Amino acid sequence: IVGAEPSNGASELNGDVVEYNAKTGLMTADGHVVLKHNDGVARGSHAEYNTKTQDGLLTGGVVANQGDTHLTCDSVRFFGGTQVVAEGNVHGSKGDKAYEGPRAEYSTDNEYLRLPAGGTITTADGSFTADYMEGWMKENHARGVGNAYVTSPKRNFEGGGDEAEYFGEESGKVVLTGNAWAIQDNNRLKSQRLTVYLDEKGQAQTEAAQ
Amino acid sequence: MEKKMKMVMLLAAAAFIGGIAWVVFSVPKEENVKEAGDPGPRLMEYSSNTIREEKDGKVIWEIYAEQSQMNVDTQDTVFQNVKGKYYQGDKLITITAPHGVYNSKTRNVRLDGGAKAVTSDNETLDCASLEWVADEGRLLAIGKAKLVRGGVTITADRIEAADEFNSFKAQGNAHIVKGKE
Repeated sequence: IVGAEPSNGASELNGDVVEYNAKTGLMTADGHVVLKHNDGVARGSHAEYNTKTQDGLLTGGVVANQGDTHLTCDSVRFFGGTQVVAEGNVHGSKGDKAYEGPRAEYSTDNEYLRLPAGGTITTADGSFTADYMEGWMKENHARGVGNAYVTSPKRNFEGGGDEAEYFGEESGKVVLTGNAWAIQDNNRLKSQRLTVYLDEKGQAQTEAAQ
Repeated sequence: MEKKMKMVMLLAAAAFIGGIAWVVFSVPKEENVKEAGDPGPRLMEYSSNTIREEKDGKVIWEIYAEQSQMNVDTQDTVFQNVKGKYYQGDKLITITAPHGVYNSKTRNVRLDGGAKAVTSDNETLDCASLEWVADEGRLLAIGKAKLVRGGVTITADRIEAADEFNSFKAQGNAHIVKGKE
């Protein structure tokens, strides 16, 4: 596939076969598909992109990169240029944060992430898994509902509960609620609510709420 | 003197009549042509000629050529320095090319040697050869094809235009850019 680098604002679609309907604005591409927009590049085997609505679809072993954002999945949909829904074996990362799950919904404007079918969000402090996950990547804040599980290998810590909420900017604070438990080294704790600090010193300070 | 003149005229008339007879009555058979060396196709040469194709009273395309040769037997025509007009709905596509061929059997037209098309909406289509496939109503740009239309640029080995020049199928190293380039 030979192609010039698009200048800013341009969308580019390459493939073995590409079709374009000027009336509807719809472009489709099949075979060795490469979709480029600003500095983002996404590859797959089939693509659809509407130049009027900026809605798009890419399927077939998707690999997408834009700056420090990376994504692999079975298929990904774009809505209006800011909303991204990735489905099937979703593995994504942005800077030092990563996420995985069967489905991920991401808004590029406020960097909000949702894993409605559950999954795992990993940050520098540890990994958070639950049946339902959401994350505010800019604020380094994540929340998990249902079978929440937190692990921080470098702090030799693991814990869980019905819910877990992580506040990265507050010394790595994790609040575990509902059947909460926590283990670090030989310390074991159980309570309805546990607040854990996975701070830089690697000490998990726990405050057991009565 | 007069007798001599009459004799010369009689001989000239005989030769002339003989010539016509040869052309009309003794069409060279295939074998003969081969044995006696192929005299080549019988061509009718035209200068500054225009041919057109109509359908239901509407002109589909019109081709003006500075020089054209029509093969009397096959009715195929070869053009030099062509200026074509191709009508797609309310859109007029003007095409220039150094060379072209009209196949009377299929009614297909190929303009090649580097064809350049410009539409009445200022869209451009450049390619090595541009083909009109009559019975399928398709316009094919083949060989380094490049279409520029309304901020969209399509390049490919081959681009097919359809739906009154509103939809395009690019095949082979197909590449579309929307926005500034």
